Amino acid sequence: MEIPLATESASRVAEPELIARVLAGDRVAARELYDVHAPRVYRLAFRLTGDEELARESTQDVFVRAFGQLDRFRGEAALATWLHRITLSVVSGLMRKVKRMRERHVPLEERHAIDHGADGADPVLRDRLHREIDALPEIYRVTLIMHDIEGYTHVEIAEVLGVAVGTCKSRLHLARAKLRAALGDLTKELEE
Amino acid sequence: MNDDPIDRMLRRAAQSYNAPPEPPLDEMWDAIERAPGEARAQAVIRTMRRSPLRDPGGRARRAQPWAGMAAALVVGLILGHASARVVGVPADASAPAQATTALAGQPDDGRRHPLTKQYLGQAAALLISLPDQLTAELADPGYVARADALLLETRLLLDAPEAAAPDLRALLEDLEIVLAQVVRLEADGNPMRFELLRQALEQRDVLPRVRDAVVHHIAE
Repeated sequence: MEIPLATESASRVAEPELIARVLAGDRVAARELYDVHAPRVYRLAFRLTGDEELARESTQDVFVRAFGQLDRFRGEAALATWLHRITLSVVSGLMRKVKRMRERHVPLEERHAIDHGADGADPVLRDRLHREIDALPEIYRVTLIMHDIEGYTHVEIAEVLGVAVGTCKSRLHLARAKLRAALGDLTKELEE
Repeated sequence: MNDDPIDRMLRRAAQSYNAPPEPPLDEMWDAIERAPGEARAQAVIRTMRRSPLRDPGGRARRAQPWAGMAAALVVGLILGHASARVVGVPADASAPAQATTALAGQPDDGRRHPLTKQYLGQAAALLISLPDQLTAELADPGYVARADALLLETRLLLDAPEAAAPDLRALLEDLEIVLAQVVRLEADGNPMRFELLRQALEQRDVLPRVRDAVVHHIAE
């Protein structure tokens, strides 16, 4: 299970101080802030993009933007929440561009060339499941990835997405229902 | 996917979905410090002007002339896009994320930041077709996705200092309410939600107020 956003790091308590140091020009503090948040930003970006280069590019973009606008961060939300909002926005923009490029240039199957298996799950089920997750509408896919795969709570997801907790739960329910329906034939076989 | 065995199985299988490798922290950090490209230049220059992360070797001073020209070009393009949308050109669904995290700072001359205008243009474009969605009583997933992205932008803008301006804050809060209701349309597909949103829009006069304010801010 992932570490909740709210208790992401021991340095969280000192985060306002860290931010102030960054704003004062302290590069060490900037790196410290980056070290605290970058792993989770990268994880989420990778889960959403499925591509090392895109995840790296997204993470870099998130922090370039965040550092460039840190003086505008008012602290009304946790910094992690703010960074995750930026992450979703950056990834979503990037993925739309990439999707358009892939539709023009790359067969869809190539997206699944990297297999990160070793989860003990049936490989056929896993492959089908991954494709079905890919096919989910983005609002469902993001919620499913954040909750079921990355372990964010509904409250955290709702804060990041700016929606009600109930909406978040409803999306997750629908995402799971869509997956179950899409994989109905396989799950019956495996059940037997 | 908690109690049901099938759900548990799916959840286990899902763990390998786009399983991330170890993040290349140092490599990314180097890239962040270099921050190449026009899109990044403005953020980096803003940062360096304040002096955090300033390169003692004078990278900022070397970057400023070309970055300034690039920034001017980008701003021009953005303004063009925003204007085009206001006069009815369909909004590109990808647009919200591009405007995104600019977080819309207020320029020194007190006028609205171009990226805020871009956001407002997208909001106007979205709201124009809201009545059609309500009449059809069918939440188009694409429309809801755009509303969802804009809601995210709205939250980001509400966190930005520009939102301290009472007029813009009020507008953003109205937009947040409307967009949140639009997003909820897809949550359970309950037809009653369409009626409730329709009534809320009519009784509170939200839609015309938001439209007027959007047009006003863009014309500003």
